[in-house]
Amino acid sequence: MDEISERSESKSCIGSGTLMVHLLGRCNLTCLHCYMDGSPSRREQLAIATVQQTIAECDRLGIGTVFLTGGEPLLYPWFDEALQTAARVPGLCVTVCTNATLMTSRRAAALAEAGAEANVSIDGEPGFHDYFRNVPGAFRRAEKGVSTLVDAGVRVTIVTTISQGNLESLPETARWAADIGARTLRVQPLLSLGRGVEIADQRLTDDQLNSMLLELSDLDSQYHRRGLTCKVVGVSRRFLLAHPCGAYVCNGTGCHRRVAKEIKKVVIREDGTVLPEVTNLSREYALGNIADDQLSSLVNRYFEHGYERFDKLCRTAYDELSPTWTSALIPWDQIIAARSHRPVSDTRTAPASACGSPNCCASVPAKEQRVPSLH
Amino acid sequence: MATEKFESAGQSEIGNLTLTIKPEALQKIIAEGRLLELVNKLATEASAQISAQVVDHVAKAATQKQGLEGASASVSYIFDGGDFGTVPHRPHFGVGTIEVIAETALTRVAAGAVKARS
Repeated sequence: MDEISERSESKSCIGSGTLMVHLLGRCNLTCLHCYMDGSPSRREQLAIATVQQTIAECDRLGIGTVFLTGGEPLLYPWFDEALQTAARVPGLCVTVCTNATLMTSRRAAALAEAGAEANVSIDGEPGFHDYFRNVPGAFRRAEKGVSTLVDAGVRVTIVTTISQGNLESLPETARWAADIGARTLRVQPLLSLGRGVEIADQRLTDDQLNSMLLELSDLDSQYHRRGLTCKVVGVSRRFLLAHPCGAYVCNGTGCHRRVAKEIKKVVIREDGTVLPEVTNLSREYALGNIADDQLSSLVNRYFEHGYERFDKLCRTAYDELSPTWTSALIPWDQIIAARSHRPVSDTRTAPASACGSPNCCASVPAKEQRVPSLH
Repeated sequence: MATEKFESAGQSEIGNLTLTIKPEALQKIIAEGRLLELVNKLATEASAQISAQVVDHVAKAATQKQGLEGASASVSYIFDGGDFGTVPHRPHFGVGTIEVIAETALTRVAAGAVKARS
């Protein structure tokens, strides 16, 4: 193992919290399913001073993992500065979420030097990927970018959004990921969020989801010896029933971890809005704006005023929905995001939904599930 | 009773399946000459149900600490939590339990709980 790979392998994350920083809304692609409506026309971006100040607070806040994302983070004018700031925080694991089409040797070397990992979105065979990413040639450019990252010693995770259109090519995607030297294949079932609402009919049925999960487990075993781990993104029904804290429902002394209040993931959107846990959550549940105050101050204030409302949102959803879950995998963040956009007085109705439960995300009109534009 | 046999790791019998049919319904289906149609339909439905149950077994095993210890220490489960590929390095959803965690700026521990590093 070379020195760079060793550094990347050996990095351990000290804090248990996660920070997800949407550096900007702009993206060079216009993917059909983009959960945050990234596109070339978006103009919002965080000030670098704010980013640096926030990342520097990670240690004090108990945050051990930071995701630099967008839009496309490589389009952020001060990406190098943000990366270097994160690399300087002791015990902070850094992951860059990129489409890799703009990856260069210099950038890859910078990621390796920073000990950062890369999550790269690849949605299957070239034709489908280009269709889904809405740009001809996107696959070949991304493939070149992934090779550049691997050659530089960066640990790469391939994130594949799985839908009706690419379900059959999953084994081929796993083979490609192993061949190119990725370390993890993370499969994300298509969510009804952002532009994904408009292609919600492409989501997997429960039967397809179950078959996919079994196949993915087999692929995990098959490619394990070649250094590729296969995982699904999302929490299982079993896990949420056993550990409600996974649904952001902490229960004080009743919680097996004795947690009374907790934010596992802090999300900073491209306009500076700070959200707890869920990227597409309604702004009504925001901690505030990072341009107005330090993250630690926003967190402290939120625990005193605001957290209870988010807790109630999650707790109510959990109490109402968990007894009726039938699907193996629960798109909890999608459910909470959808419910957060409902008027408070909204009554429950509706049949089948993403998790096989009535009264769930499918009961919310598509328009409401779509996060309002930040323009 | 139908018993499924599956050769794996030296175990010839790993579970069983049971099919119960009402005698009067079976007689009628035989009389109508639709036995093969019945079997095909049952097989399709059974396949979906078996998939769902096996996935549930895997998901359940992934939530149990003992599922990763002893003889099954090398087993990796596909359930990993997170969204959009942003799975935190810790806590690692899907495995084990943490009895009591340390209080941090993002985590307020219930009053009276013992503070300790996980």
